[in-house]
Amino acid sequence: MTASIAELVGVSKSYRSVHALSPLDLDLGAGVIGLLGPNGAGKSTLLRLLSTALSPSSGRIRVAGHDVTASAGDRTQARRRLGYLPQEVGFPRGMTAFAFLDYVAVLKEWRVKRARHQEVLRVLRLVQLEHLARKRVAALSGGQRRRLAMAQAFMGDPDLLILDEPTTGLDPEQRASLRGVLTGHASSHCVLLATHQTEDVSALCDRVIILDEGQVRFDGRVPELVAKARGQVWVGSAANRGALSSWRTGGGDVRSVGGSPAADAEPAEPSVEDAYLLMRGATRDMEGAPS
Amino acid sequence: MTTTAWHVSPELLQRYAVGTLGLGAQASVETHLISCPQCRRDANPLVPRSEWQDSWSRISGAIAEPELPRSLWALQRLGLPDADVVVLRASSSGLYRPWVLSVTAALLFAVLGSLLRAPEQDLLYLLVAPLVPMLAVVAAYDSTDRMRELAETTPLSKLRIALLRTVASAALAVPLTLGVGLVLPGVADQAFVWLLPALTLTVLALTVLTWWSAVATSGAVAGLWVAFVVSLYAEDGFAAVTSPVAQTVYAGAACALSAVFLARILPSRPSGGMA
Repeated sequence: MTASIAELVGVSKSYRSVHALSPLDLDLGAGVIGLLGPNGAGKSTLLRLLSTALSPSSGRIRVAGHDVTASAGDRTQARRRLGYLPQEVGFPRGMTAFAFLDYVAVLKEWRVKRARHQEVLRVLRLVQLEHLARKRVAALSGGQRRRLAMAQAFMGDPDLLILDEPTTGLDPEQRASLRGVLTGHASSHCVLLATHQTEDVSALCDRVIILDEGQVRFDGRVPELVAKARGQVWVGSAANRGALSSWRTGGGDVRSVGGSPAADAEPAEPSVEDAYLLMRGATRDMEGAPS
Repeated sequence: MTTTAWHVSPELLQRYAVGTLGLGAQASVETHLISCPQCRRDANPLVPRSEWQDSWSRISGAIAEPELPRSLWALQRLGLPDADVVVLRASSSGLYRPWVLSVTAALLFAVLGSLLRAPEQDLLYLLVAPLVPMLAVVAAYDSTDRMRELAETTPLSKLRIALLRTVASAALAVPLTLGVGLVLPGVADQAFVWLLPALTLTVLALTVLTWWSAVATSGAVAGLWVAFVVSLYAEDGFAAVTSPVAQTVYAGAACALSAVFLARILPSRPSGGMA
């Protein structure tokens, strides 16, 4: 277990009568941590709580040694140590890529112009947008805008990097490049990313947390998650009876997750996605079971 | 690019690199370096890497940094710190919109006022004058409204940003509106009575901005004020705006709203917020 960078103790969040997050305990250390879950599972709420954009209904949150729920001063200290990429970033009207990052750098208290500009150029290089520094944000493509939004999160080399759907809108080459940047950063910092892309989790994450209906359903290493699906994924000429999910692959075989295997079916090596689907299926079964 | 038979001696290059050459010799070496690749290669290792990287960063930063709008260039010349200039540059493209709004409102005042009789001039003035600073301040927030969630998680004091934008926006709106009031004959005797209502509306708008968008805030606050003034006009009761008691009430309301505003942006817990 690596040293704790962020810690949640008994943290819950409710919006009036809606429970977005049930009380949970998490300890986040260095490395890439993937947060998986269906829409409405509480992923963004968890990220917003850690980023200090939201306050918890109960519990305590510590970021880089500062209890963000204790005082405004502690919260400001914590904000100096984190980078946050919301699911959607709105850009100020009429700004260039450089001006946007320059503004965020000021919001992050980079007051000395030369140092600030060096940092802006560093993060632009990091996301390979240096050549577009003078271009207006409105003229950038969707993928370029996403990378620009990501660049601001890297500013100041934060201890805790919180990314909500970072790879949305990126092409495969850009995603591969981003993975390199993220793993480099995670060698000594914590990168927590919420995603629907299970291949990102397999490729990047040291640890995976599955949230569903505001509760942690799984918290462990990726191989441990995948091992849970071993013996439940099959490939054959027809779909398994009662399969949670099945589809015809490019090779013409039918891949089934869960259910009773067909006569000619053979077991297949499971993926993170298979394990995730099985876990979701188990949750639905529990909900459907008579109490 | 040409090469020459003569090259700068190592001693001369060393003195050039550390900056101990006289101006004349420095200019000569520089002229030669531009045309001689071999001497440039020799000079390269004499300058510490960190030094030229630093210079290159400064050049890249200067090239990439967008030109400042005239309004901000003037404020920078007057001594406004660079970081504050960046905050204002993000505010509706360097206060362009708040200031244009103020000038347009003042011109409209002057033209409409000259066409109206004294009582109607009063109504127009009381109706619109307090709204001008409020709208100018809200316009300064409009551009960055959309990055509210991101800005909330940054450490820079939101109070500092709010004050900076408010002062910069009102700096033009208040004197212009006041000037028009003093020029209009039917209004001149009451040219100052709108200042406290304007302060109240501006603080109210700043407070509402911690929940709502800039567009919704300006619409709601302006609508509220117009309904209030029109209802007074129907009852012929401008005293409710201009009397000393009314002015005291506005001052009290502005103080109370300021407390709410401060509680919103300097909260004991994070919620809402403004960029």
